[in-house]
Parts: sequence; structure tokens; C-alpha cells
Amino acid sequence: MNSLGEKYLRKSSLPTLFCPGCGNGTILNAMVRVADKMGLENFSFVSGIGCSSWIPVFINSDVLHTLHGRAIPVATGLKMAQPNKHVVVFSGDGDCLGIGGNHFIHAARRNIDITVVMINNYIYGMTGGQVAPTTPHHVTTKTTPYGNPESPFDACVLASAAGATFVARQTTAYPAQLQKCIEQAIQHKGFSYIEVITQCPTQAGRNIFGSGDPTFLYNELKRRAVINPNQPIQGNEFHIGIILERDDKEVFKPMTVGEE
Amino acid sequence: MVKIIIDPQACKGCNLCVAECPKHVLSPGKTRTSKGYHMPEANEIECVVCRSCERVCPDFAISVIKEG
Repeated sequence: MNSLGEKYLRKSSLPTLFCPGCGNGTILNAMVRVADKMGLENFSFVSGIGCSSWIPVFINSDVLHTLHGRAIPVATGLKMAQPNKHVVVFSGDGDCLGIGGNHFIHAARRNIDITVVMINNYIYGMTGGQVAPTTPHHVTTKTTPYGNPESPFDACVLASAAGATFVARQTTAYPAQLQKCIEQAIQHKGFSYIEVITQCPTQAGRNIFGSGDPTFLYNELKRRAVINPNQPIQGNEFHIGIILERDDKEVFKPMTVGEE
Repeated sequence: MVKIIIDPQACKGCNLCVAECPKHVLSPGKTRTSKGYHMPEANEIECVVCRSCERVCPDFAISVIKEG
């Protein structure tokens, strides 16, 4: 355990519940580094249900572990009650786009000053590898043995269209960039959305990528990530970096009734 | 003088640090932890203290300490 872990993690809940090689731990590492820089007492974390929603549970801070898909409504209420806190939501792809998709688009529309970190591992990892809204077309999962007949969500395009004012995509294969992006998203006023593409060796690795070796998946994500925004993507590649940042939209604020 | 300490209680043997290290300081090891995972081995002579391994480690197991 290094000094950051000693300082910021809950010792009673360690070791983490993640499988060996899971990218969620890297995101936890990046979040702890950001909290170390900006002061952990200024943060409140909210999460839903799923492997990725375990991330804030290990941080020795204010954490709300809420219902499946309902992390963003709870975070909205928390932000209205405590406007000075940085509210960070950790949510999986099934949690944020599947069951909580409605809450997600309406939080983006209202432009509430919260940060949503959506962890995309291409599959429902916790429940055993079922098809998710982000599973790529034609790949085989436990519930689509003849190939996935549906097209996946492009979550960043959805967030931009719904009205989010900071949209970025990152991957756990570039941890330093991920940390910097989380810091920028927290400092941004308005609804900030980061899609973090991560490796899931146990479910997505074996079913989608063809190998459960974490180092293979790590190098594969590094190969698929395209940093240059002008370079066209081919096949299963994706762009990383800040996709949209604007400040022309009013941030949602709590109203005071009965005062001038 | 650089020292790389890997905590055997925290390490899960995923070898992400081996994939990340730009100088190939870390390599897959043979020693097993008490939980049965293979811990990576470190050859500190080549280390340039970029701390990429610390950053990528999902279990906060690696600490790179620069002495002197």
C-alpha cells in the first residue's frame, strides 16, 4: 500500500473487490490523486449499482451508494443541498445508459453542476456478461450467442446532444491523461461528462476481446485509442480527449421562493 | 538510489505495471503472495522514477521511493 492509499482509502474494506487487472482500480487511483490535489473534504461521491459503482466506496469520504440507475437524481439533490461541494457520480454503462438513461439526459439538459464519470466496459460485468447498451455490434456475449444484433450507444454524442457542457472520452490505458481530464471536469461549471473506456478481463475480455489477460486488454485499448481528433477512426477505434467544452449555457441553481 | 516496494498484501498479480513501464524495470515474477498471485519483480537500476506503475496500479500496491 503506497502513501496515497494509506491516506485516503478505507482500510477496513481492503483489498478492493475488483478482479485482478480491472480498470476500475486505475480510475480509483486517478480520483484519489485529484482529491489529493483539490482537498478531499470538498468532495462528495455518489454511485449506483455495478462493479464501477464500487469505486468511491473505498475512498474515506462522503459516499452515497444508491439505487440502480438512480445515482444522478441523488447527486442532483445533494448538489442543491450542498452547493459548495464537488459532487462526482461514478456510474457504469448499464447504470448510466441502460436503466438510468432518462435521468442522465435530463441532468444534462438542466446543466446541473455535477461531474459524471461513466465507466464503459462494453458489457454487464457484475451479473455475468450479458449484452449492454454499449456492447459493439456483432460481438458474442452470454445472452447474444449468435452476435449482438443491436448497434451500441455513442454516449459522448448523446451527452452533447442532450446539452452537457463538458464532454470527454478517456481510457484507463492512459492514466495520466485520465487524471487530468477528471480534474478539468470537476473545475468546469456545469454538467461534466467523462466516458472512461476500461478493460474488464473477466467478462468483456473473454467474450468480446478474445483474451482475459489484463496486459493484452491494456495494450489493445492503447492501440484502439486515437488521440488526434482530426485522424479518422477505423473499425473499433475511438477518439479520446475533450470532445466538447462550452460555457454559454446557464448553470442550474436552487431557487429561493418568497425573497426579492 | 530508487527503491520499488510492492506490497504482497495488496498486489493481485495483474501485471498492468509490467505493461505500462517504459523502461522494462518490472517483469512478471515467480514468487507467490499469500493469496496465490504471482507478484512482479523489479530491477531498480533502470528506473527513471516516472511513477507510471504507481499511477496504473489498481490496488495501490506499488510505491516508488527516491532516496538521496
